[in-house]
Amino acid sequence: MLTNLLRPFLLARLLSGISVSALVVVALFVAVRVLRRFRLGETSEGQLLLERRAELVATLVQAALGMAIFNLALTVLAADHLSQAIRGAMCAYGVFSSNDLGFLPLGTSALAALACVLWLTLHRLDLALPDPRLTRRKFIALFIVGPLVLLDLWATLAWAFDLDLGVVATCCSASIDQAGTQTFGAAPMGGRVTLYYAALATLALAVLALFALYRRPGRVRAWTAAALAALSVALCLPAIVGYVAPHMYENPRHLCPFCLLHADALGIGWPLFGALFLAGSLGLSLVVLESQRRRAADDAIVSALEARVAKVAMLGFVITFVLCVFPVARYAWISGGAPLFGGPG
Amino acid sequence: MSGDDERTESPESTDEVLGVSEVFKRYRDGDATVEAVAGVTLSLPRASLNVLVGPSGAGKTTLLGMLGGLVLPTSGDARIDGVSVVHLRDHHRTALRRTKVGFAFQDLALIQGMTLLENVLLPLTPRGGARKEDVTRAEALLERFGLLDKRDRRVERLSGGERQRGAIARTLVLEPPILLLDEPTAHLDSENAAAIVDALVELRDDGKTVVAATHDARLAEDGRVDRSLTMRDGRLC
Repeated sequence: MLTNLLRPFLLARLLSGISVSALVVVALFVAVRVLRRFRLGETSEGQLLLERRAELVATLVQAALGMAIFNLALTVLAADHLSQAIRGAMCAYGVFSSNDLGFLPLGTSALAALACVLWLTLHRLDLALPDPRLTRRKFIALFIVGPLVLLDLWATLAWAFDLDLGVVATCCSASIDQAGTQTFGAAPMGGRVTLYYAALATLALAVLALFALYRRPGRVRAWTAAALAALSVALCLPAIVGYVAPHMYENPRHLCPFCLLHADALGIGWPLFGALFLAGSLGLSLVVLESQRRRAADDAIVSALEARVAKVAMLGFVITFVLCVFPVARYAWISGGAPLFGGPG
Repeated sequence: MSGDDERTESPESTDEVLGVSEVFKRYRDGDATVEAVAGVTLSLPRASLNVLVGPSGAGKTTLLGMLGGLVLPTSGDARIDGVSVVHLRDHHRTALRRTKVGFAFQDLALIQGMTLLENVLLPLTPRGGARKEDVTRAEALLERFGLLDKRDRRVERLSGGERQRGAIARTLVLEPPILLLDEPTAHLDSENAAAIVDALVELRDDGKTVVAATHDARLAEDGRVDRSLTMRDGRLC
């Protein structure tokens, strides 16, 4: 319904998605030309002109994809604000689950944002090199990123038009908390604790690996850091749902990750998930840098960029670590050491 | 010795410091296209004094700009010390120019209101400004060009010849191996023009590669010039 769109954050999300997609479509036309005609060794008028055009378009794409990353936050923000308009929906979970498309727009936004981070890393490397030797590859990569961005726009538009603000939504307590409690409850209590501490340990290892990479960039260190970054994200997400969130809510049965975005949870979800996403995606982008090392033919530049990426990713994981520990430590302090789950905590 | 775009100048000579290969520079002028430089191939060796001579509008300044990486050709290749500049990213090209090339522009581009010494030290600004040794070096340059006693004088109070020599001194403060000068003897009397030519010869003898674009026959016909290239309508004659 068109009236669905008259919500500020949703409107902002859609307008942002449309602008980003429009720029990406323009870039894809240039990408076709680059694919067909870009020959770095030539000095013909066509080649030199294409280099200038590609550089200009890549600058615009850089801005667009930067916005596309921000669209992930806008998607969640829009859904969270819509929860006030939908009966029964206490948070973004209720809004997503009230719609036939469910969490698809969140998934496409996350996937598109990740692809954008990887492309932007490749773009930064191309810009750092003396000449546009990675430009062709960069524009070829747009044929992967572009469709993801367009898919995200489609999913978000379809979801927005399909929203029914008159529906009574299912609250996160009624579904995710029940499902989560069943999932985690079926496992031994120690399983949750183990998962939590495994996530913390992996975060710490990721920080160490990134620090080592920052001090001395290299292939083995980059791959190690990237693997640990991916593992950190994989372990942190269920650990946050199963252990961190309940401690933040001081309620062993409340597992919803979306409620962490609210003021009563100190809005901890924003920096927590934001830092985790940034650190994880930058960690994965190290793979992109290493995969281009030979073609870049400039170890110093690749290593310098790896060091910068490692520094930011390291900071992101440190923030994630602190924000995973904070709710547990806070609860321990408030409760005088009493375990939240009724057993050894 | 005059240049010719059909002569056997090797564009890939190992001693080449500056080179262009089949460069064109075209500008749009309304519906028409103007060819400022048309198919020039040139290779200039190390420690040489080269003069580009031709009437106004011949394309000398444009070719000079392409040789120094300031102007990108529409097509063709331009090389500074063996490095092709046409594909370089802007910041890399700027860094290359900053270390390799000194420019003295036709309008001198001295900053009014600043002293001669301040103007000479200006190229050091991107590096964070002048250190003590830079000031010493700048003063040595001014002394070389007979301008030390004018160091604290504002440039608008200098004569034409003094400003010209000051502009050349400025091109040398970063100690580039290549000097490009556009109309270095313009509006100068014979005595001052001769002093400029003497200075250029000295710089060549110091191992620098000097290229001067001029319509002044005095410079082109000086016997100490290694190469005099005539340019007309964008082409080397």
